Amino acid sequence: MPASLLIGGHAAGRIQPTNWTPPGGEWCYLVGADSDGIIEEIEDGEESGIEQSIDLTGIFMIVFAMKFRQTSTPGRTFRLSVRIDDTEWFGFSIPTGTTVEYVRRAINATRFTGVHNVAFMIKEASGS
Amino acid sequence: MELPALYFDVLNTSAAEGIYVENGVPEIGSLGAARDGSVGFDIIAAVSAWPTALTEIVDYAETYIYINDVLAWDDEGFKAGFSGTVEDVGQPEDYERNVVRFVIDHSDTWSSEQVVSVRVVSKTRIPDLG
Repeated sequence: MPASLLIGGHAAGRIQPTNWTPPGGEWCYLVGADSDGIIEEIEDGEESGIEQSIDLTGIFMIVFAMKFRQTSTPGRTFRLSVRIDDTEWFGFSIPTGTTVEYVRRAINATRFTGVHNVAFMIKEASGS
Repeated sequence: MELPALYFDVLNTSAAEGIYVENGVPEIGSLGAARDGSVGFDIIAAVSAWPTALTEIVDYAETYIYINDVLAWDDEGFKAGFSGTVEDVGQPEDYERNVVRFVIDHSDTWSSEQVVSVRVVSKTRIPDLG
């Protein structure tokens, strides 16, 4: 998966994280900052993510593990989403300063055949 | 502002057709859930084909949710001691009930360190799939 965008000057990409133990090994994909307390200028509605074109022919579900650490900056929130062709199929936000971690999340991908754009995104959504 | 972090891993695709219970909150086997918290999960009908006229994939009439072996929900609604929401969250919009999200609240607070079991019985309306 190529890094697609930047957020606050930090690239999104594949890393060996220090603040998560990926279930599949030492490496995982990260959007945002691995370390707590990294302060950057973020515009309202700014978003970043990692995306890839995937052939979904014959695929019934997309399955992944994830951890989402919300910003701790008061009054600001980010929304996590997994989009297929720019349509959100999975997404949520959590309160400021909180973290969730899931070993398994799944998306019903039944309707798709052929190659589609699958994107894991975070978006500054305080104004939403 | 402080940057957030979204980590993800084990990106797999499943080519197994069927009906699944996924996206549990709390997740199956997790520890430390709030004693007054709700139980949530999705029933995902991952199926390739169905009759054109059939729009409601998950069959509510054949769906039963048990919490600690007590019936909490069936097609008639939540049972005494339970409340919550049942929401069709699937896409695309032209087919209904291919992802159904249950969030179930229990009227009593769970005991400390109590193991809470969730059993889901369900089937699709598609013949021969289950």
